[in-house]
Amino acid sequence: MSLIALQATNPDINLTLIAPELIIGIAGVLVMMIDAFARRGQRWLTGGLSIVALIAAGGASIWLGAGWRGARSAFNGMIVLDDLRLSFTLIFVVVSILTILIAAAWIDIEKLPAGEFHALLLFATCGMMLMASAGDLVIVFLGLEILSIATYVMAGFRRTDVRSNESSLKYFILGSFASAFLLYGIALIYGATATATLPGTTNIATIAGRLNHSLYPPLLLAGAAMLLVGFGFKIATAPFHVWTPDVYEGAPTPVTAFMAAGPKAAGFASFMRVFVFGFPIATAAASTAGYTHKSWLGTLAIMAALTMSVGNIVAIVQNNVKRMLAYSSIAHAGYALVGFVAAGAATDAEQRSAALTSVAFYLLTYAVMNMGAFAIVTLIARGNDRRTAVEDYNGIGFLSPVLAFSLSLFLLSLLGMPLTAGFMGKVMVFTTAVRQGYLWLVVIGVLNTAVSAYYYLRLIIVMFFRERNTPWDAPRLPVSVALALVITIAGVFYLGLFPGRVLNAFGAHPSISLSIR
Amino acid sequence: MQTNLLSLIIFAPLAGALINWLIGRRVRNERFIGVVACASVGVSTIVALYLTLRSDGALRATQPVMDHLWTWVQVGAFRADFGLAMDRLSGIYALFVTFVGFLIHVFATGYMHGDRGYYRFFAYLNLFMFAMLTLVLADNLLLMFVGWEGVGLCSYLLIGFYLDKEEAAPAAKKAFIANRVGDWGFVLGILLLFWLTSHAGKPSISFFDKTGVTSALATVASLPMDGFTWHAIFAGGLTSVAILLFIGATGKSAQIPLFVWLPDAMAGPTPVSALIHAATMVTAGVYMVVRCSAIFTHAPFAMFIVAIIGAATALFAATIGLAQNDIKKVLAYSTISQLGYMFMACGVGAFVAAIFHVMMHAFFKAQLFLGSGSVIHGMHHEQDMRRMGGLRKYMPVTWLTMCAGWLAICGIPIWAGFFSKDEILWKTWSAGSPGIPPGLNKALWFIGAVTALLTAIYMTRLMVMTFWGGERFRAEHVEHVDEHDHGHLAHTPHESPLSMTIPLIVLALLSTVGGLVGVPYALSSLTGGHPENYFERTLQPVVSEVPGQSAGSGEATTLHWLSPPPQPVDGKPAVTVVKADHGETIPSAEEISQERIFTLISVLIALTGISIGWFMFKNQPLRRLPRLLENRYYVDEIYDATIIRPILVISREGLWKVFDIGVIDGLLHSLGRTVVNFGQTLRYMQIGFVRVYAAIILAGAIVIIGYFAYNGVHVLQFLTR
Repeated sequence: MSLIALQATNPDINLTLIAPELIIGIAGVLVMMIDAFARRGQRWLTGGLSIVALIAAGGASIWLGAGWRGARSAFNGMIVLDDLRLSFTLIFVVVSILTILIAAAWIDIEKLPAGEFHALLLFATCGMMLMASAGDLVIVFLGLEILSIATYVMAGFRRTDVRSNESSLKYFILGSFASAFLLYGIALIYGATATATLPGTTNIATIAGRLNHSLYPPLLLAGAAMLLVGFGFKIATAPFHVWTPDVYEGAPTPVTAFMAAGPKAAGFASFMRVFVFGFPIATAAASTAGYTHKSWLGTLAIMAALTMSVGNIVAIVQNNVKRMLAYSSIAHAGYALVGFVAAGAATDAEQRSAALTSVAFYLLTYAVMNMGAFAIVTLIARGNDRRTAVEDYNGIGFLSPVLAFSLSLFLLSLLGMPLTAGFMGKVMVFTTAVRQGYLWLVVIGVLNTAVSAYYYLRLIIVMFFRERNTPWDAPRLPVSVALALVITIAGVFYLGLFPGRVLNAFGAHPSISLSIR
Repeated sequence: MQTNLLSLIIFAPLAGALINWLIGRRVRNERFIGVVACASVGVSTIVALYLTLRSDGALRATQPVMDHLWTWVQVGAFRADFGLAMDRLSGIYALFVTFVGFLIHVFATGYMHGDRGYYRFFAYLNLFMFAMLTLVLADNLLLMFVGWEGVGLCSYLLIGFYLDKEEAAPAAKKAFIANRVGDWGFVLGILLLFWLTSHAGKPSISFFDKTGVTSALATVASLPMDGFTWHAIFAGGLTSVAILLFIGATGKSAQIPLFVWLPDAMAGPTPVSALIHAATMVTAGVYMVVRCSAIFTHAPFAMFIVAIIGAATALFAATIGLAQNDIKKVLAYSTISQLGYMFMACGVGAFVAAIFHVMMHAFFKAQLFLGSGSVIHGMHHEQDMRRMGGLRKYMPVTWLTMCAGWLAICGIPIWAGFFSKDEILWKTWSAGSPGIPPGLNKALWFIGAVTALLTAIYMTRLMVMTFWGGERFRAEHVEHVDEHDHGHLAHTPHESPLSMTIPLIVLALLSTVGGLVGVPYALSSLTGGHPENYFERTLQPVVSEVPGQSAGSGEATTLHWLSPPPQPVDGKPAVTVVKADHGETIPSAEEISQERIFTLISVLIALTGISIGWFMFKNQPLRRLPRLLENRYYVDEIYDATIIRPILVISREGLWKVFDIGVIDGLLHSLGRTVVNFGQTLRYMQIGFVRVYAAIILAGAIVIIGYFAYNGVHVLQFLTR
């Protein structure tokens, strides 16, 4: 009773808590306006403005973290502030900045409207941020839709290209299909959390408190299952990954890079928030909460194993680099899921926080190395994404040494070579999983890493040891892409050698510890 | 005392190496390269002199001179610093390494004249000095191991220095591999020591107490002594540590069974043989054993093995040395034999005597090697003594100075070797440590005496064949005039330049009077004034006392070597360590007279050996010697047949053809094919139709929702019950 009364009387508005989202949202609208009125030289204007806005949003979230006064929420629990949100917000900022830098070259070649692209990217970023900061299923859905609609358009951004159109349409149809699952799941949970005196709820923290008071548990469990399917689609876990290869291959390369790193991380952010905090581990296994937890954790562990294996095994037989990286992206979602499973299984707040941090760190490392790899793929692909077959990389090792060596570095990092970011990410995720007793999952993960060596190293071998039969005109390296490469290469080494600072920052403020019944 | 000057000792040669490698290779000016190389070692020498001899220097103070540069490894309780320490032992080592090294550098500027790899040679040689001094001055075992490997690397590079010499590359490889076997023992020894000290509650591999680290040696000294039994070797206690470390020492110091690399190492330039394979690097094993004397004195069975191996090597190598015709090979076997002496001394607990002999040996063996280098230089790279003879009048300086080295190694009174060798023999005779069962010390002494006799014989043979007798090089040349028709005949042997003779003279002087720093009481008391035994007084505080040694007939004699080991009582060692007060202990009159008699005996042995050598080889220098000796007991052939060939065959036929190609490749290839086939199958799912994708998603969703609903029903049953 009191909760409803409180909500009615106190709107609980706190604009500082949504400062990053506000900055990005306003910048997005501004960019759209500039695009409408100033059509000349807009590329630099909108791109610059977007980067400034992203940096400001990053600064705002760091500022929110620096002025830390305990985990907080606002708008009656709709928005929360904890390290899960802050760390993911920073990942989104990094991803979006890199996307703008990489896309600059591509926009030039293809003669595309830059302002439109930048506006869409900012809206997508805003959506991702909302997904990370949501404390309520409604906000999760809102963020997801803001993100998705922008991404559908971005995937089809090369209007004249059939593959791009196909990619966009497939993404849209299947995405809507998955959104329906998510929405239906939310509805079921709202219904199932109603008690004799209180109406249902979509607030994640409140759901956790109502689990054992649910009047019809199967409804609750079915809702949770539907949420799982919806999120599973977003982060492309097997068997809901089937859309990924086609969409990633058809979408313009910079957009593919963005989709593999950004929206996937956003999906992880809300997925983890909803399941780790909404359906937390229960003290009594023989209760609604206990069964819910057991169901999703078991399913997720199997999905993680499946995702890793399917992604890697199918990547082996690909002959298109973008498609190969798409499968690699599926596999990496699988590795990250291992950390998610560990977070779900953790019994105390500290270990749970460590596991969540490891997933965030993993996704950051993946974002950095993946964006770097895609930057080079974009350059080599040229206009209209013509050169994306493995044969197009034949013997370029010593013809374009900068590109070849950087790509090799990113591939080695994706493989998880020591001293690179990819290694550190895997170590963190696998360590937390071992600590929670998921040794079998880690064994599968390590075996999969061995499998993945085949296709990552294959590309390196092709670049350095294959004869080139067709002429090679080295692509020019634009300043923006060069900057992106410098950032990503530095990031790969920094995260690989000195992960301590980032890990500390990501895990500085443990999430709101929820009461466990 | 804490000073950064100490690091200058090691970094000056490193700087020299870098300058020669980076600049010298472009300048290609021999004078520039030579000056850089000699000056860098000269700096080390001066700093070493200053730091050891100043009033609070390493040789006078009780505390070592320390230089902590940075903490190198810190993992858990394991800590290794890049820190240097110079106590009395490492001070003495640093002194003679830098000094002899400096002289050999000077010698080499003349010897290597005209070589294409001049800059390379001196860069390696300077690098060697850096590594050797790191080894000596390291304040913990891990850093010592760095130096240990560094000298191994430089030794490898310098043995294989003559790129166009056919036997050089295999010799370098052999040296490296034999050393790797030893390194295996050394590393395991370090690990095991760390494990033991961790168990004792003070994890450390450091030699000295530092802030935050306790000395591992002090910790070991407080542990109970190991028993004198075979199984102590494998028990994982101090005996195991000592044996493992000693395996490392047998590799570096060319002892049985790993000595085979040293004779082959003579393929390197002669200054290298003098510096690395006689004076400094090969004595690193002795240094390590003495440095870790606390471990060895607590492991009597290890001491026993060290003594046996040392004595056996001494005798074995001396007999081989008798029959060699290559002047450098004779000296190489002589080095092995002398190293055996040093280990025998360590084994009986006479650590000070061992170090004394190391230092004297560095003087006279460096002298002999450089002398042989001078001969080889004068003979235009002829090393076979059968083609020498009568060189006395052509190379008077070389001859005279080599006489000093010869008398020194034979042990003629007042020359350096006399005091050190005599001390070892006496200490062996009078040894009474738990590691030496009664009677064994007499046997060891006898082996030592026979070795001394053989040493005198083969060294006399070397001198006679080289410097006396007929001038066989002429006859040889006349015979082969058709084959060697490129002007060799025109050359007659000539004396070497000043840059070579001056080091010879300095080393000859040191070989002559150097031994006076360690005159034992028994002899010095003869003169009435009896100067102190400086050497012993200086070193005594830093080596571990062997229990019962000074007592003579103390508890030690009650230990029979087959009897069960004494059990520790209340955690205290069963055999109490008799701590001698620091300073010289005056032996009893009985001991003194006995020692004098033994001195007389060893002088007689030396004289006998020289006369045998003289009369046997003066008139018949080409006398044939037993083929078994000439072929070095076929040790190389035996190793080849029993170890190398089986390993090669097993590797090629078994591991490679069967295991690698068959099992591993077969398994991997079939596994890879399976995965690829599976991938191809899964790929067909991606046919591109949205309806198929939707169906797959739906199927997955149904399975998951079904599983959840199934659990939900469980909950329902549970709730309604």
